[in-house]
Amino acid sequence: MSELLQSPVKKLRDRFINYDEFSIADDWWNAPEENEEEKGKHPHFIYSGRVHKGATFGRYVSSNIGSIYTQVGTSSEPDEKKKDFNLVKFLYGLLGKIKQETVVKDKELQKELTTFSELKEDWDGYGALTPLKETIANTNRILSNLPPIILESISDLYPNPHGTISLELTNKKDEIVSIEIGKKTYSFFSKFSDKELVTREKIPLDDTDGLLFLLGQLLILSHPDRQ
Amino acid sequence: MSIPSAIANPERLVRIIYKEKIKPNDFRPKPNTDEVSILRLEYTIPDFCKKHGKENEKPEDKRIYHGLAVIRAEEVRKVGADVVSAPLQNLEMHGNIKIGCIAIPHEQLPQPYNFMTQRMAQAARFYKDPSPEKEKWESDKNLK
Repeated sequence: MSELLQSPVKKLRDRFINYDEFSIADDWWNAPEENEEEKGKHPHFIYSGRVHKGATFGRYVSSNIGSIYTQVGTSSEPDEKKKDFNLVKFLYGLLGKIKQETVVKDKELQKELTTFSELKEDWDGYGALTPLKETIANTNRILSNLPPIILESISDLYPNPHGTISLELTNKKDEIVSIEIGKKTYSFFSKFSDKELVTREKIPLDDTDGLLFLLGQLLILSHPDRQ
Repeated sequence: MSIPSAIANPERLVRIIYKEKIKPNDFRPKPNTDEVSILRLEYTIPDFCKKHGKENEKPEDKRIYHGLAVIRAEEVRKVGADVVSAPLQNLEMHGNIKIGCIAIPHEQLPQPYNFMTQRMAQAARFYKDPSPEKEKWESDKNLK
């Protein structure tokens, strides 16, 4: 492992070693890779508690960090060391923002979600449907897959009259990723100030590529340069 | 007063709000329709809109009247939706915003329509009622 990488990671570890919701795996730089050549290149994160798929998230961030930096306007393609350094700096920036308020917010969202099942049919006076338990479970699953920094960007969670549930994430530039969850699949759109509308329709909950694409949009939304 | 069926672009449309703020689901269609109910403000007054809103409260479902949202017909059309007259008995000034896509129960709208509801929610002005418990609309009467 590059020395360049060690210092910030040690700082991270020191900072979060006692944090209930987050820890870095002891062997994060040696986590198994499908491709042997990739071994050691990508940091892997293990989230304890209710955030899952940490390894997938870590791999995704690391493999896409170049494109994220391109999108925020780097002048040249970083060499490997610089890219690694940028990656750690980027992750450090993300993780450094985790606050106790985020954990509280997460719990509040879970609580809010459970109230949707208590809505009666016609809850809006215009024939609105009660969200199905499958839709609520799917929403819970998506929430569980979001890294803490992204949870901070959740601006709203609400039921729709025809039974779906919407989860909205925004940043200070009024950019938005809106996820709509149904009984079997979810869809989303993203709208950034400098980009065209992006939409994805009816993604199965177990579609990893769909989830990774969504996470990519959410990371762009949460990027420090867009705050 | 005779109410024309054609809705002109400058017409103000009222959506009654039962939350602390306007949300995109205020512009989502009823199940199995592409329609969102509105009142045409040029042919009624805020007092009536408030009375209508309070009559439709459902406190047991947290549906509590909070105020009025106003959007102009041209703002609805600008995002790709339309608005048509749909008079009801004792509610001649009733109309429907038509988003152009039927909301299938428990399934997502195609996302360009989700974006459309988002844009309408952003375009609308929220007039929060400072005294919702009172019978009359006592706030700004010049809703824009």
